[in-house]
Amino acid sequence: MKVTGSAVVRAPVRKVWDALANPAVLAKAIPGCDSVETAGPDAYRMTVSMDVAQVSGTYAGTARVTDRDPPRSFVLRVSGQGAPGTADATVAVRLSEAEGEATQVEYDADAVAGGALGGVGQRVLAGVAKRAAAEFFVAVDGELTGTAAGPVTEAGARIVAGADRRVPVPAAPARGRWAIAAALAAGGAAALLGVALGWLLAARRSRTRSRPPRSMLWGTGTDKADPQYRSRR
Amino acid sequence: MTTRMFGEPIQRREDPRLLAGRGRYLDDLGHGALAAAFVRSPHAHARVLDIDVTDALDVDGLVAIYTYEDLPERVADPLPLLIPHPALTHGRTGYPLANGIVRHVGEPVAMVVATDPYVAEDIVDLIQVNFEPLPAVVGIENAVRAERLVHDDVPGNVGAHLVQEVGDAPLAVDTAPHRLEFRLDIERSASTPLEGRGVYARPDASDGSIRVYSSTQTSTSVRFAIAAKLGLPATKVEVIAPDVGGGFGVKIVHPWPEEILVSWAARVLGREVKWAEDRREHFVSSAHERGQVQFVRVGFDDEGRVLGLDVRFLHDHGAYTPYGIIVPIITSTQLLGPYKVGAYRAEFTSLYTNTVIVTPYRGAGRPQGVFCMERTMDRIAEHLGRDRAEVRSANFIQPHEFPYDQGLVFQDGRPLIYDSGNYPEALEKVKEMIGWDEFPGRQEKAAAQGRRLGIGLACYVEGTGVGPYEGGHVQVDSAGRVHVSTGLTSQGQGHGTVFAQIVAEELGVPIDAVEVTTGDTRRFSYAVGTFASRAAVLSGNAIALACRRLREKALRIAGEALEADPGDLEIVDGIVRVVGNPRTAIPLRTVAVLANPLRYAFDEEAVRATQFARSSGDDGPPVPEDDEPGLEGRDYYSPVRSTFASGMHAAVVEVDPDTAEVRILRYAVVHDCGRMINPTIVEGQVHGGVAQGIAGALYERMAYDESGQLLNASFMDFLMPYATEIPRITTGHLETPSPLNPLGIKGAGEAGVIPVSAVIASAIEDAEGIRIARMPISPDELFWLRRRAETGEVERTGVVKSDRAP
Repeated sequence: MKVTGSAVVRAPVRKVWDALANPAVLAKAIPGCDSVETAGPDAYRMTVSMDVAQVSGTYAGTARVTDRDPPRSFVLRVSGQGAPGTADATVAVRLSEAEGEATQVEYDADAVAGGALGGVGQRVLAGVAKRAAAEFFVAVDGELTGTAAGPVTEAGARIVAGADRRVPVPAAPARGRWAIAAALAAGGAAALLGVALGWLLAARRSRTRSRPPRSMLWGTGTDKADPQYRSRR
Repeated sequence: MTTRMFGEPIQRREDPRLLAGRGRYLDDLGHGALAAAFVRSPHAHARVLDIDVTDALDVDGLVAIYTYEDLPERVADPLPLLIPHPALTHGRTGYPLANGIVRHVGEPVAMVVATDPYVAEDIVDLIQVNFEPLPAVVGIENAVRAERLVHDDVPGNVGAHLVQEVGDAPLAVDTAPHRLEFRLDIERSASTPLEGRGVYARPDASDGSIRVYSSTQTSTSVRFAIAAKLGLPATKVEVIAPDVGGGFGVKIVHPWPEEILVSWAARVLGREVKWAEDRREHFVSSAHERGQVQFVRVGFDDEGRVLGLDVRFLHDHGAYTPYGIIVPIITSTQLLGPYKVGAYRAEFTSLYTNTVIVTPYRGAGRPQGVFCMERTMDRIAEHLGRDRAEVRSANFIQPHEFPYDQGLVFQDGRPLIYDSGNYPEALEKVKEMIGWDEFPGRQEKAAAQGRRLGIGLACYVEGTGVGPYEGGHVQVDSAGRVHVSTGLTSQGQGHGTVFAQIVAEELGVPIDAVEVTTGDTRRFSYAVGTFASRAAVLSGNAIALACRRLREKALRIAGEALEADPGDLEIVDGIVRVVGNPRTAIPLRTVAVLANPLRYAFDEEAVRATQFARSSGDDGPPVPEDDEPGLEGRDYYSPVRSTFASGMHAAVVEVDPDTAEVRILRYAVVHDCGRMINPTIVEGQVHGGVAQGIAGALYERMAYDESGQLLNASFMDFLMPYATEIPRITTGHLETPSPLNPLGIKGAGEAGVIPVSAVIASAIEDAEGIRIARMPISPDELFWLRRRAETGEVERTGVVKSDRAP
């Protein structure tokens, strides 16, 4: 399954790259994140809790950063495992300048889900992943612009993310700048890794239909798993 | 004495249970199961550009959403083409979920699984599918024009083209003393069972097996299909047809996408999953039938004898051909009816359209064929100024001419040879029942009062009981109960009654001791299915043969126990006894005990079969070589070819001079299905069939617009008649036994529906004096036909025309 998306964070590229090295930010920004810790050079261990459709549970995952090109791009290889299933993903992340001192973050994930998680259907996984990524970036944006309680969208709906998460995150001693990279990528592969950020929250909010407007949440994300583009054989 | 059972009009044993609401239909099962629902195409022809499930993610209770790319190999393959045929050169089947393109409204695009059906349907509504609509091909004329294609790789929209001929029909027509040439149209209808399709799958993680309940007409074949698609051995799959609320043909199609997908999803999720079709879904995603345009050329002599018949017809098979070309093959072969024609040629072209698939619906191509032939007979009679019954009579195959070889190949791939029948007697009988000869006086009298009455008649022959085979298993237990099973399924035919009658008769047991199970692969795994009026013929004979095996064994064991010659024994009321000496007897249940040598006694009866209770008179093994323990019998019946039932219907109609409303005043049926197992059930079948025939003649149709939208996909708009529209039906029976099977029976399930459109068309034509060449007919259509007849746009009957074909 391929998931592609992008988001805009309202800070310059270098600032995004650096500032997010702060593990507290990282831990806050990954919704559903119980812990993040380093596990060697450019490698991280994390535990996240998430619900995808009727599949809920806690996943333990590892993330490894490769192909670093600061402050432009990196590749993240993640794998997660929990009672409801497994997920493996390769996520390519690119940062670039965007208009108005902002950073455009693009991600490209190729993922495989197994177990019960693999049974919910690719569209559901991709949808959850994209939503998770979007909420992650909103949280990052909030941290960088000092609106961590969640920015108020044009529509006036309050985005609940980051600090409003249900799990209090211990300030895990994540060291090194790749922590933020991991966080970003984990956002991209959220559903798969089990970084289900605000999905649970989003699901709760949805009952009142007050999600942020799609233009902000979804960026230019497209799902390339459309069947007609691909012949099976 | 045991009451004679075969041929007795006993009441259906199923009814107390069904009428008291104790039936167990598909949706009565699996209350805890997850529910499936489907996103279906709203377009008749479109590319699927994008499927967006974003909005659905928020719904509490969502379990999964599947689209084509989720499907693994085999499940993702096109559905099987069930009945290949060399003439079906461009057979195409759909995918379980759309693979980038949809070809009819209702084609499944995505599957939702949720915690209950309400949630599942809500989620279906939240899934956004972005379609790029493509031009749709709707209707036979657009299909044959082929300006647009249903499948890019099927030129001319032609799936199949087949010619069958006997003699040189074109020449025979051209050289005949009289000739006629005309066109006939029949519109679509559908089986429309009150219970739609449904599937409920129960995976068992402990042994990797799955049990699937499906509202199907063939559980054994669904089982093989699911096993193949899921890559399982058949032993890991059991399929059960529970009570089925009507089939009428649509449920013989398999595997439906939903049968595969629900079973697959249940295994993926490790949960029970159920899907029950709703009414709109049934209209747009199951199957239809009937639609044909026929071009007839006929040549005949002064007596009305057909010398040459040359029929070319176009058949609309919808978007895909999973059931092959069975329907048009049946039309082209059964068109001949009870007649011998000098030379015959039937040519059909089977066409793709962007509409629901066409597969057999009760009658299965015969109503169209009979409409063609019987309209032809009426035109010949009109042309010659002869009585319609007389012209038919002049063309009948005579009773001494059986077996009669029509020289064609039938739908089972076997020669079209009629086994038996008595058409002249049937005609006399139906004429008498309807008051044919007195009718002109009656018609005249009514006309004097300003009433328009008309009478019509139609005959048919129905090939029933097609192979390849069915089997039966009969077992007597130590309580004297008789357990009968056969693999084919039941959808209201009364199998639990008629098969029990056969068993009671063959074994000499009380019918109350007999219990019948059908459509359960756990009980009987080899079977074909319930269609083509074949259950009584195939399973009935198989069960009779199984009973005969069991009886032989029972008499042998009883003979040993009673020290009597088995040839001197009879079974009466479940007791084996010496003929003429009823005191020397042993109950069948005791014979069942003795048939299974035991080491351990589990009850009083069983003591008799234990090792120290039995006489050790000989040194042979307790179970002799070539024998098996237990008192049971299994056998199969495989016919060399179909057996041909027949019948004739006649009706008197009254047409309102102002509103053009058609009312059926009298309806008479003479029916010959060989020996009847139960005349009440035969009559019930005939009645139901006639009701469906009247529906198809006057009320039901599939109203597609030019873009392929079905405009009447609900019971608000699709006019299924009530009992109020169905007249009292008088039924007469002939019993011309079939020489082909041990019981001498023929099928009766579809008969009632077959000639109805032809009969009603004939009667309306007789009442109105306006040519009826298109069925069904509504009051509105008849009203406008009258208008057009006034201006000469539509032919009036009885006008002598040139013999030259137009």
